[in-house]
Amino acid sequence: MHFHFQAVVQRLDFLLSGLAITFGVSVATLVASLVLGVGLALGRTARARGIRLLATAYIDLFRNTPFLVQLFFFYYGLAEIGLDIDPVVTGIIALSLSTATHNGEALRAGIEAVDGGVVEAARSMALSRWQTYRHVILPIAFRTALRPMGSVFINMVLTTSILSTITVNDLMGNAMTVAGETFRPFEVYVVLLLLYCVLTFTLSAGLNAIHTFVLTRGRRQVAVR
Amino acid sequence: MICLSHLHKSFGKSEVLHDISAEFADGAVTAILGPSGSGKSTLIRCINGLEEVTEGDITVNGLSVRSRRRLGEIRRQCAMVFQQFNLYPHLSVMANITLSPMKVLRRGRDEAEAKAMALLQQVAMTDKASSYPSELSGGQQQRVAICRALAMEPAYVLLDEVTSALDPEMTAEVLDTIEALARAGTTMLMVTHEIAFAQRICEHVAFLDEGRLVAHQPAASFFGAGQDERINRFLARMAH
Amino acid sequence: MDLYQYTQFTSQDAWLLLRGIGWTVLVFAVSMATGIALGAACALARHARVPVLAQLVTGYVELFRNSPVLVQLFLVYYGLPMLAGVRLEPLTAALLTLSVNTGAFMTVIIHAALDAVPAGQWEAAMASGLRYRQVMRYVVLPQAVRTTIPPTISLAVGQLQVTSLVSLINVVDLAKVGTILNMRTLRPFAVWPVVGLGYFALSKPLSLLAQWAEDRLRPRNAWMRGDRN
Repeated sequence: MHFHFQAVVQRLDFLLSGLAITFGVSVATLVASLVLGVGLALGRTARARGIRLLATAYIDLFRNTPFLVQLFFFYYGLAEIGLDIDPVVTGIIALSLSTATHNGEALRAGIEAVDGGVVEAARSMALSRWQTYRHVILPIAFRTALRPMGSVFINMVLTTSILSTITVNDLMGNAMTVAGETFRPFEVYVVLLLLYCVLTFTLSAGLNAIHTFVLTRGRRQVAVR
Repeated sequence: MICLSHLHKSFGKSEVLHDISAEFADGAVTAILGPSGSGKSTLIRCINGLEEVTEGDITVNGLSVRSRRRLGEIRRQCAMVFQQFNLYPHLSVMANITLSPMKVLRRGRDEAEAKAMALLQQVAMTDKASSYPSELSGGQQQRVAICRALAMEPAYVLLDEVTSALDPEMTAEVLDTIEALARAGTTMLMVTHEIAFAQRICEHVAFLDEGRLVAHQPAASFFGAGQDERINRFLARMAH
Repeated sequence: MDLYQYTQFTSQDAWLLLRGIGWTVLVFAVSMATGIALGAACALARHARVPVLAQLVTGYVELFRNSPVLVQLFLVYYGLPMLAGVRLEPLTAALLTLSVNTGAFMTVIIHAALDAVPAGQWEAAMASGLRYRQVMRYVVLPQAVRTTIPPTISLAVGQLQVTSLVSLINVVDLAKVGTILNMRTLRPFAVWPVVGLGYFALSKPLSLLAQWAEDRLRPRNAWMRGDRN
């Protein structure tokens, strides 16, 4: 049993260049899925029953079908109707639509956890429904949902690997190429596995720092209730 | 003036307030007293629209609470202080006080903050302006809540058992604040269990029992002898 | 058979889809069952702080929870044969990988459930003379099992979707059938919604069960009851 990690190390820079795409996709998806997620959370907690049903149906659909199937639907479907879209963009669209459901649910939980008394106080102070959402409910909900949304983000970064199946040259895509070139799949995928772990740990540490900073508002005391 | 006219309030099948009619004139402090469950909190929560009136009407300076569009205007004139304080946890003391003046009354930031500092000075808490609610004691939070209510320059201040969640020491500091407001001529409706305090500063008393307005009279006569049996029993019980 | 007929859907395809569903269910059920067993064993090792084993478990858990399933699948299917010199059937590789992957997540769930049993239970049981194994068997595990049910069902819903990735290592599951049909008929708007529907039909009942479990089996410990008002 000989290990030939040399072959992988030689192609390491090519491998890591895929990280650029992984990051790009992750950031774009983060933004899009957050915006959509807010919409979904508001939809789920709306007063109009029709809107609530719509939001729930959307989330239901995306949570009970595999991401791979969703991705293929968009990739082959968009090509079928004649749109020539870069696979990276298709990937971002599919991933955003899917991740939005997770962010939406996390935010919904955050909204429902807001102290009813605080909402009553805001309304008593003559703030309109919209003002109450904007200045009181949503800020508090975001703080509560920050940790779960951090988890969602990390899972999403790992899921970007699936984009390699539609010819996206992200970290996974490049690894597949290197494995094909060097005929050393074991070494390549072991290194890849470890790379993703390092990526996850780094992101986790970063998210923890952000979480702490936001919750203590930059001060030393932790705001607990 | 706040007018209640044949007010009925039910939660589903159970009627909590029954045919209440009363007028609360400006400039006076009225205590709303009664046994637990008599509907006192529900009554003042109907006034600023937190609870919906089932039958009858409430008008605040001529504006009816039954009209949804007028509710904002009514809430601008009635400020409420809650038993659980309900300060915005994610905002500083200063931001808590200035939020509504800036967003509803459209005051500028400087003007709103100056007013806030003036109010904080009255409760001797100017040093806490950039603190957050979680860093304050219950009594301090309640005093901030009072400042938040006053920042709107309301015509009426509604107080819903504002000392019931405080221990005796903090209760005293909050009661002092309320007493100062009373002396300054603020119109207040105060739901409370602090009978001695009510007796000291209130000009009128409204007594509720099982959802009915049993008595609405000047404080002097209420606390005198020879009252309704229910009132006597209530006062006797509360004296312990 | 002329080309036009070849690219159309046939009644055979319905059968193909059904078989795909069958394989999906098989991969899901076996990997969940194995994963739960593996997770339980590992959680116990960690909880009991067995020297060396506990650390190995932690390493294993962190490795498999913090990397994409696709990478794990490729590592096992393409990488292991090279290492051990044996040929691995797609199905075997799939079951092996998903079991190990599920096991990592189950370890965390079960370990958390064990930790959630109040310390007082341990103290009382041990004070009455019971040994670790007995305490586990008669006092702690019964209480812990209840706590594991909602997150396990939630995990199952996710893992069901994850099984679709085995199509990428040539297991003819529902997703793979979709790929085959798509390539043949070039009708993505027909193929993928049907495949999606298949997964939805499998997943939705499980989701409803997860919801029910979440509502019904909420922790009943006295000290947790406070947050229900």
